[in-house]
Amino acid sequence: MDAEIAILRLLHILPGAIWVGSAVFLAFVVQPALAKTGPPHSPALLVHMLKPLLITLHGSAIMTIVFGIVMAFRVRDPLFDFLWSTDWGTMIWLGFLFSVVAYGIGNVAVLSNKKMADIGKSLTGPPTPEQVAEMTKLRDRAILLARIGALGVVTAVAFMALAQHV
Amino acid sequence: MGAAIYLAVVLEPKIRSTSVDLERQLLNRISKLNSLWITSAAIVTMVTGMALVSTTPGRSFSDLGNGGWGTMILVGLIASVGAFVVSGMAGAFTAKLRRGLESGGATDQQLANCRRGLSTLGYVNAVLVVIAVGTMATARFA
Repeated sequence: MDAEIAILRLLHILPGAIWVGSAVFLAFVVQPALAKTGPPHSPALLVHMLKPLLITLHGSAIMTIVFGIVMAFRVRDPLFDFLWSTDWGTMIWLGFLFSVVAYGIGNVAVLSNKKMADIGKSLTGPPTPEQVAEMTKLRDRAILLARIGALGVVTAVAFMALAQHV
Repeated sequence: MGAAIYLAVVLEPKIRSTSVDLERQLLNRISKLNSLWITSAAIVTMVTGMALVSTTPGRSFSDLGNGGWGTMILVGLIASVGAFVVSGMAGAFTAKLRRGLESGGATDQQLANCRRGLSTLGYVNAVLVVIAVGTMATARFA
């Protein structure tokens, strides 16, 4: 039992730390820097960065959520009784809710980045004023959504970390 | 941890695969904020981690290195301090690379050495933080 929970904890906490760190770093450091650099450089970098970015964020988020659910079922039986009737349960489902919503918002941010990268990929010369305006709109949307998503993940971590102490 | 891995695995290799001009601009904009961000996060994590060790009922710093829990926490602590040092070295390499790109005085070989050093330190840092988090997370089961 202990070895199983230890492994589940590793498979939940390690990707969780990668997810929250990457999300916060992307939202508050990388994207604002790319915004200041502007077209045509930032879309060009996004074209290269998108695939590893998606693998890192999707992979870590899905692993965190899936192994978190598995672990919750293993540490409390029957889980659903604990979820609705204890403070621990309230913190856990709130954390779960925030993480899923943050993941969804993060996905919309990635879609905006992807659209911006597609425009960047299609450029054969300097961007037209319309393309610059479109890329700026997509970039600002992606930054805003990435920030909301990152704060959502941080909130989820806070709920989960405090769950056993309430 | 996420920032360290993101930086080592996603951002730095991809920045290098674009243009030197973009690399210079991004280093100018990111490097100071990046150092500040990672250093602050590392310090907060280590200080609160030490406070947690001293306030955990039935545990204290004298347990470090003794038994399963103490060994895991000690390994985590050493790995996190190591990661902090490596991160500082990576910061120095970044500053050197940024200066080299800005001044245009560095040779291609010097720039390549800086990039290689930065890349290696980034991966070492990422591995160390994974070890630190992994050992800390499983310490109570050891």
